[in-house]
Amino acid sequence: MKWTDIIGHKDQVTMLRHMESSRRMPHAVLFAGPKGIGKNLVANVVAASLLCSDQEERPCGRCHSCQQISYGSHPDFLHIAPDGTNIKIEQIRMLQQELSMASFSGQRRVCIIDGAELMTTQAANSLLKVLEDPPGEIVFLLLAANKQMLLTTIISRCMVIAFQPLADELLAQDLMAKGYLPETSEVAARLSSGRMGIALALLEPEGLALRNQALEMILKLMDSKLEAVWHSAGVLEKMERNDILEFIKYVTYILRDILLLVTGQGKQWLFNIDVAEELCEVADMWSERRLVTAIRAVETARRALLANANTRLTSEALLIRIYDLAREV
Amino acid sequence: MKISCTKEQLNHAVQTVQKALATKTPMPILTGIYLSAFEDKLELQATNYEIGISCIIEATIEEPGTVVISGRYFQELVRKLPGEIIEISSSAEDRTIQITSNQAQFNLLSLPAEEFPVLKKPTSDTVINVKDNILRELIKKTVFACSTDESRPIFTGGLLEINQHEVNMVATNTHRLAIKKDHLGHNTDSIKMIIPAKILNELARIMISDVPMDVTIYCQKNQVSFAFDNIYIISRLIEGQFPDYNKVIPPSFATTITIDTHAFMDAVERVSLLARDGDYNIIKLAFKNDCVIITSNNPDIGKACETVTTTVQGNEVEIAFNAKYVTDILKNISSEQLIFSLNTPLSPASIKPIDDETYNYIITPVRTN
Amino acid sequence: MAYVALYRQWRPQDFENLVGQKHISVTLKNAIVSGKIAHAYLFSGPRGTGKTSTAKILAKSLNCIHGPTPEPCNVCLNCQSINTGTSMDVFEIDAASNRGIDEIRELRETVKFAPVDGRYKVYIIDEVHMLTTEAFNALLKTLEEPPAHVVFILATTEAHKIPATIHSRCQRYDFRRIDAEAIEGRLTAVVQHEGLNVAPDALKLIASHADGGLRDALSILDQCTTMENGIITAEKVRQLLGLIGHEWVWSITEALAERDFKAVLMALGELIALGKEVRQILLEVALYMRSIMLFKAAPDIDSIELYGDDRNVLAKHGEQFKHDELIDMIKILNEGANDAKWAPEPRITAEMTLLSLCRRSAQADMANLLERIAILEEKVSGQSFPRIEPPIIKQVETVRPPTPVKPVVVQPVSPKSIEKVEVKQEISNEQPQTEPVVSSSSSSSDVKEIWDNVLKELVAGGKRSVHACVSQGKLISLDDKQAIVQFAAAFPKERTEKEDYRIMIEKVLTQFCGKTVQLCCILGSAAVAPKAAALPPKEKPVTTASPLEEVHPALRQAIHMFGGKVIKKEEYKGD
Repeated sequence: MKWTDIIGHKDQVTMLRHMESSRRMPHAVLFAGPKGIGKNLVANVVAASLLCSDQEERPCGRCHSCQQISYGSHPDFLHIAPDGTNIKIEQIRMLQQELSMASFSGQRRVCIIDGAELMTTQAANSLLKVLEDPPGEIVFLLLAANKQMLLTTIISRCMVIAFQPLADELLAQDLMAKGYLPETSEVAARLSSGRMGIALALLEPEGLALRNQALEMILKLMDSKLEAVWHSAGVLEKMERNDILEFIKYVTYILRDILLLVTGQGKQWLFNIDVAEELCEVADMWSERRLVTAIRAVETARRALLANANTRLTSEALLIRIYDLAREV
Repeated sequence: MKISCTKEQLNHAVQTVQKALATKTPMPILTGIYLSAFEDKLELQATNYEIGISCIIEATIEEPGTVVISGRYFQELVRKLPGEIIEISSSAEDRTIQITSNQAQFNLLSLPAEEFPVLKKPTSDTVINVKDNILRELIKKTVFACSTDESRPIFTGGLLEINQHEVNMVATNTHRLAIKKDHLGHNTDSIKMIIPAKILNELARIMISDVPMDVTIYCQKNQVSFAFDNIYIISRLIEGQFPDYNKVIPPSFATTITIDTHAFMDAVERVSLLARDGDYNIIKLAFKNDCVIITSNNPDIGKACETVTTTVQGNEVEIAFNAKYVTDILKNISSEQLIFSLNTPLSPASIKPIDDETYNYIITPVRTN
Repeated sequence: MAYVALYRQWRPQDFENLVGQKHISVTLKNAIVSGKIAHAYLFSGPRGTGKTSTAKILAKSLNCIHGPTPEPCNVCLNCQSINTGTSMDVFEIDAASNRGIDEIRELRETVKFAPVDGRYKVYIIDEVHMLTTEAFNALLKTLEEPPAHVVFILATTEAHKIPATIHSRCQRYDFRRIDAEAIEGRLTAVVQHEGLNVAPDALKLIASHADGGLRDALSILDQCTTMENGIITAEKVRQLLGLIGHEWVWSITEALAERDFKAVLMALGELIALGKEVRQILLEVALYMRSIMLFKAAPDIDSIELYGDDRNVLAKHGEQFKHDELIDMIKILNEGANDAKWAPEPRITAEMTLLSLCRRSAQADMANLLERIAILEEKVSGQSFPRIEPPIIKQVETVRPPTPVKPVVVQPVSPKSIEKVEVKQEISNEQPQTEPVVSSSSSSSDVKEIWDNVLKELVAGGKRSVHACVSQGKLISLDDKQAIVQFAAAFPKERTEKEDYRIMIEKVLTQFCGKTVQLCCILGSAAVAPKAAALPPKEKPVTTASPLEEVHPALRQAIHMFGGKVIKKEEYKGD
């Protein structure tokens, strides 16, 4: 685990390294940015270098501290992650107790709170005190995919460092450097919107399955009978909840890509660059108005599913809507 | 590794170190007991990063080495092994540890020994030597006054304070404070550290030798170690600044009584029987006419009153206390008589044994209407 | 030595240094001087406005060796122990971590103890809104009649979560968002004292971005100073905060003025590649639109926050937008920014938002819209119902949007009205060019529309049972004398032929085609040529357009799933 393992995020890394080396790391830092863009990696490198005892190069990977980190048994490196779906108040209470003791090594401590936005209200509120005035020397690194979900009182106590997805080209290059084929790298980079974690998942053998399924379904809805709706809704019903949401995301991607084609933007911004040909072909069947309506309908369905609506009914309604819209109804 | 040792010694060592085993931890290695065999010795270690305990016993070493073995199972099976002699050997290939005694044989999976955070033999510039009975006395006479409320951590530990040849232990929960002093045989630098109460209690429990022995205390910025016999215990310290307790001790008193410890304690315990279920467990003390009148009143149950004769010097005063805070100290006073000193109904009072300036207990009164 | 964040270093230690809460510090000071100390205070207000700090100052004022004094010395042992949190008489309780009834019961017992070395026992209960209901109730009695030496200070960001019974027992102090100037003033003091090199406009930017929280402001300042060794300019602050900046906002605004979706998309794409947050882009454009709006309304106004300094640009952009237009655009942008919060891919949300901004014209142009409605109303009222003749079709055709592949040419009519007319027209007039003419006098689409109207009228007239039966048939031909309705099944045909139904339908038919016709029912046959071959693939499947006896697949599926038989077959697409 080294600084050079981090892809992109140049400004953020520069700033963090500068703060680390000049010993001006504030006691509470919030990394905000979408899932899968490497916040966790950055946080772990920062933590390792804050704890590392080497004089020159931190993290060195050789010292006692670095070794303990690699074993996952560093006593002064605390890591809190959601227990189930949330971070619970008991976890924060444990943290408070732990922090009331002097650090094990006598040096500073680091505490990573991964998924900070998933703290329950109780947990978040009970973190406030220790986050503002921690005993002893400690650096809190809070990682949040959705900053809006955090209490303002939490944000206000932290230095906020925003992480953004990588530029598609940069990510594609890096994927190629990792040994992936240029075309697939490009596709993965675009479809992941610059998020390394997601791009890598897409490059797995079955990574594109859901996207392909979404595409297939849309194409089918456009040129076959209403029967397709029942069949597809049946398929959707059997999917895992997260898969459906993912599936729906790809439906949005595809419709949006068609929208760009329909409004004459060409292919340069397409997510689904690998199937641009297919999309161009079907674009003739669509109008801007109907696409906008369709994208809205997908969003409505997504929200309904998030609110635990019946999967079968929601997907049927959505598919019928798309079916109709594809036929100018 | 291949060793053999007596069951008695091994069991003693395992029971000693197992108090430091981690139970709920994200780091599985801390649930293990570390065994290290070298030069006719077997060292056992356990740590949960709050407390670490090491214990060394004699053993016949055929092949030196280190292993980490699941603490929970090792502890139980050692106690129940049938023979006098226990043999332990490990195989690097399949990462198992074989424990044999008489006809019983166990094969336990080992944990990766290289991951165990081995406790280092304590070293420090500041080293103090104390007899274990003195240390035990310091702990027992004060630690009960600690707070159990985790929201103010500094009060959940005892302050160990060393100043030249004086050693003090202080504990408080902000409503009462106990201080015990003693002397060291030698001069050292000044030291102040707050040690968690549960570790002090643990320490007092382990130090059970019949003859006084030396305990060496190694002081560091973040931790303290106690070494005695074949054991050493490392504890982390509580972070923070202990309040200036000298300010809490009133410099002078307006009323002072001397009273028989047992008679007073019995009376207080009797009267407080009725106070116990009340809201605040309150007893009232009236010091006048050369006696102490102890009363309690519980509207749901009834009243109690008992008078203990004594000599009252100074003003008459009526004052109320939490009964438990009074009985706690009375149990710890070993002299036949004690001195109770007060000022006003709302200012702190002092209870201490007669003719002993090394022990003092400050108690804040309760306001009653 | 650990680095201590500026906001911890610069916590106010006395009333003089409490920023932006004069109404509170003055009142509290007076209370201390006149000895009117309340039992319980409730400090409420947004984050970073000084609630906990004020509570500590008050505690020091009460317990300072020289006190009670409005100016605690911060030197004496009592003050110092409060500052370091080791006071035996001042308790800072974190209600969020100790929120249960047991903790409050314990507190209730401890308040009884006399102070150890101060005058007052002060309980600062922070984040008090997190207490459970039971805990609040347990606190009530103590709050109402605490022992004389006890002062409670409750602090919270969410006063609305405090029960009224607690409220009414406390003196309440509302801390305000600190205004930007006051924050700027404090920042200037910090910068001077710390010997930092920060440009005044950078401080201004930080102050306005802190949104009323001094702690936020100091955090941002901290971040700026840890990053840079040289002078900190507004530009660096902007970069650090991820703000978009003048140039980009201006160019997006201009593209929006031109309704140039492509240019907007380019800008969006580049900003995303630069690592800007999508939501921030929308918010900043919205803020700038607000600036334009304010400028148009009152060119002399001072409080234009975003890029208000360059009045020439504002004036130029002001000319390009109408007032109503701006209001609508701000609304759309804010909605978009809101949606982007939770969207799985905020980029798409932003694109959709910007697209609708580029297409805004018709929506925003209310006058135009009203005019169009007036014209339509005129036409509708001038036309007698039965006459469904080409003129309407023609008129509809003029508002038909251009072919879908090309960007929609902005038309002086609201998309909504286009939609409606379009839909109606689609129903009534399905590809008139390709449809084979079935009847001599009316095109099939006309026939279809008349039939639809008849069916509708039946429903409207409460003749549901008639409708259920008749709607299984389809009007396939209509001339001066005869209306031929084709049925797929015998029963509905026979039922329709019975006199009661027949007369009713003939009446309605007459109403719609202006002629007296005779109803003639036939059983489904291949007499009508299938139209499938003539239709392009994107058209509706034939099944929905022609009365084939074949059971609809959906229907088949339904029968398969639920069993039963078909009593009435209604076209899926029916209204």
